[in-house]
Amino acid sequence: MREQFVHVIDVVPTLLEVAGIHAPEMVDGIKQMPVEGTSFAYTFDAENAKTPTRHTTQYFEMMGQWALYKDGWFLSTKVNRAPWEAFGPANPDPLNNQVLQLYNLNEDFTQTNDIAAKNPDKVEEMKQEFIDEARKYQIFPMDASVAARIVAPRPNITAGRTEFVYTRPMVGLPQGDSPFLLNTSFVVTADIDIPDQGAEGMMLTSGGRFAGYGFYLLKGKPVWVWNLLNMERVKWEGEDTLTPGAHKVEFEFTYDGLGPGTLAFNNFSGVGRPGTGVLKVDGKAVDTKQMQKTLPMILQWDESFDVGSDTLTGVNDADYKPPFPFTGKLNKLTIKIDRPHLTAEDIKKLQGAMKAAADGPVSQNLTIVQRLEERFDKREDCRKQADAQNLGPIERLRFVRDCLQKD
Amino acid sequence: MTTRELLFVSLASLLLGGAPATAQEVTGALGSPSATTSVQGVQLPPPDPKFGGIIKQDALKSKPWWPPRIAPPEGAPNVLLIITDDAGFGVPSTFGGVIPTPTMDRVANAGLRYNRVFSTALCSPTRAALITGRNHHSVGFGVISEQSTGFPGYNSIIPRDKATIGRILLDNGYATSWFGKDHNTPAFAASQAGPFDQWPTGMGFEYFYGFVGGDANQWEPNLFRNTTQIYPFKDKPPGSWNLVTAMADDAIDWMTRMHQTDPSKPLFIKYAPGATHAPHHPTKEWVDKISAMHLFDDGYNKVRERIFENQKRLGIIPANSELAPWPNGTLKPWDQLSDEEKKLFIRQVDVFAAYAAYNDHEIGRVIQTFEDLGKLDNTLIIYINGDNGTSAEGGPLGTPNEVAFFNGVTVPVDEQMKWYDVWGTEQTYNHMSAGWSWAFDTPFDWFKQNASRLGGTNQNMVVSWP
Repeated sequence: MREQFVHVIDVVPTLLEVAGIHAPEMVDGIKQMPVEGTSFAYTFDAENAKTPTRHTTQYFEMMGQWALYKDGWFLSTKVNRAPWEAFGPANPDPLNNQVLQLYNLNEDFTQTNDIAAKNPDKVEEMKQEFIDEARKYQIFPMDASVAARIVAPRPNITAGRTEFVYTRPMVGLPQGDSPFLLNTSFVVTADIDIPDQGAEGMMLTSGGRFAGYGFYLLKGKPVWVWNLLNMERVKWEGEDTLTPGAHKVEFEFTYDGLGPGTLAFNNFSGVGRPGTGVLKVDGKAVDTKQMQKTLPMILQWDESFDVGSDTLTGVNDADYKPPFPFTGKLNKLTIKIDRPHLTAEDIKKLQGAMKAAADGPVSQNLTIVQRLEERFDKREDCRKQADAQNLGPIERLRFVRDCLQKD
Repeated sequence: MTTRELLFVSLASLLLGGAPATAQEVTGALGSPSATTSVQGVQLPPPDPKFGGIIKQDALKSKPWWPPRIAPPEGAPNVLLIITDDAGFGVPSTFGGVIPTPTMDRVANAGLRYNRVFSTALCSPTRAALITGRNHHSVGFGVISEQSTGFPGYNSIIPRDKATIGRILLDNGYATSWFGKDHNTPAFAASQAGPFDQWPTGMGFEYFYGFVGGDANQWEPNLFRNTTQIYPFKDKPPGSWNLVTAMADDAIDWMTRMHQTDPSKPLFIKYAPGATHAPHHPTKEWVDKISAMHLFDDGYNKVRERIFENQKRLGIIPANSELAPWPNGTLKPWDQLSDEEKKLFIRQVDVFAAYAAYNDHEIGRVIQTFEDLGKLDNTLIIYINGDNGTSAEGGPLGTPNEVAFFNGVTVPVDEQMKWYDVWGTEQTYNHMSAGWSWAFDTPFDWFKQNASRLGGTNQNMVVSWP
């Protein structure tokens, strides 16, 4: 048994040491930064079984919760969010808006005896050391948000594009690289030819059995389906079988919400909102439905965006089995996206709400620590009230946020 | 190679001038087709060696000179680096857990156990740190790529000035490969439009068989061989093909192929199964086997105490260790659950445990292949249990559909019961109740994501070293 502190960054230098290979100074002509881990190959020797660890300092930081290990001491933030509480407003100042705890892991293997109160100087010293590490290793700017970042814009190859055209079947485009139809208005238009014997099959789908959408012909009739987490399927369907010849089948969705832009203000109100879908054949509406809620975050991460057939799981097992290839001729499939934009007034409101949420129910007369404790107590209280009402998570987070803003 | 002579020449005689002279190991006569050399390693790839033969106007009067093949230094071992997914300290039997992990036990018994091995508390950050030897923020992986933001610590782009271990070993003459989960390719560069420089094959792992993202349906994964998507499960009956077995098979195929092609070439395998990240997808055989053991019938509070006692008894943790009280405000104690909740939660955890045990069993087949090929005595095995603590991303109730969790939706227990019989099959994308996750992080508290608590970061590891 070895009890020395080892971190995953120590594996690379260990492998290099045992293989007798140098860490390179240049790779492809680019000067290499030093390896940050410490080899643990010394622990292989029996005589080093009890040697003190050579890895003496290590920071930890994940979504605003952080810690510093140094020579057996462990400074850590008190947990202020369970992993499933991912949809609330994030801690706006994760470095300072924390209750700090201190442990001596050499004597306290399981991190159970908080000795911060007895060692305020040590706490302050280690916090400063954490800040040094944070500067050194690019931890700033710290960000405590969880779910909000999932729908935040990034250099998805669809970024900035509003129109997508497909003229030949293709499958396997991952979620992070395909047109994203959540929290936005959009129109999908399929320009198709139906042969004399009729046609069926998938024109466009993304996601699968556990969340997604599909646009297909079922026994010759057009269908659009939203698979809401395999719990509910909202389906638009034309009554008539498409006749042989050229047709334009269209699904138009109007989203009734501010969109993911609200997330930049620590606010989830813009996502997962209602919307209205209209299925059209040759310009004529054949089915119209309103959705009370939509998916706010993701489809199924491991399922792709497919045109002309459906890979992996299907979005609606009741209707078809994948790959369900389209048997007509798909001349052109066009997706037009009309993303919501925040008006100046929206932004003003959101800024106000963000300020209120960040301030919380605090009194000017309390110390920082007392304010923090009070805020956490208040949050705890609001969470308990939410629990008692058995709210769904989205309703719950709205409730907790509103509750926190009350005095 | 009949005779293996080891001699040292200076770098300057072999490579273009300018670099400092350092010993390199050469085997065979330089210029002959069988000669090999190690590289000095300061500059990768190494510059081309200077031609050492003689060139006249005709070949008959000239003397050929082959550049030596690059080989690692004498004695460089094969490396099997295993990291499982979302598994806390108390999961494997090797560290006092109740789930049988005989493969991990085997490695431990042949080598060493480590009880203070730390992760970053999240999947791809740990993996980025593991392959680069740098902190997760240092290599752009402060969070998972699906959450990336436009800052150097968080953009999910491993910078070029921090080359991976795959690249270093490859350029030093190893055969390098990666099986299973990637999750270090930016989500926005995961399509066939590339670029592929941050796919496993672009980061120095010459062969890749696995999935690019963070989780995968093990029955029908979004599976790639190198950068091409493949569908080996297509047209097979549900339940007959599973990635946990398929990736072991593929690793065994690959290492055998390497061995049969060039037995002297050391192998580096990064073996990163999707287990035990949600969805928990073991085979029915394993679910039946684990369910029959009735490991969890008395609930998560008792299981936690049992694991803690095991850990003390085995000397895995100090005898004076304390167990934090159960977090009553966060997770309902077992004896306050309804009968329906208990029934559902036991089913959830049986499937999780089956997944863990199944995965360990398949890892055992890969290790056995090293032995069968006569390579085990020169193989360094590093088997890390979990890239972070056990996941609580199913919430206190668990879920038949992890995608629901990520959309902020909790599935009530009575609704979940509809999936009771098919739990863990292709019909579910399942996760267990966080009560079990807490128990599987024994002797610590909290979970995956909680970087400030040891339940999120204190993994364990076994190493066997020739």
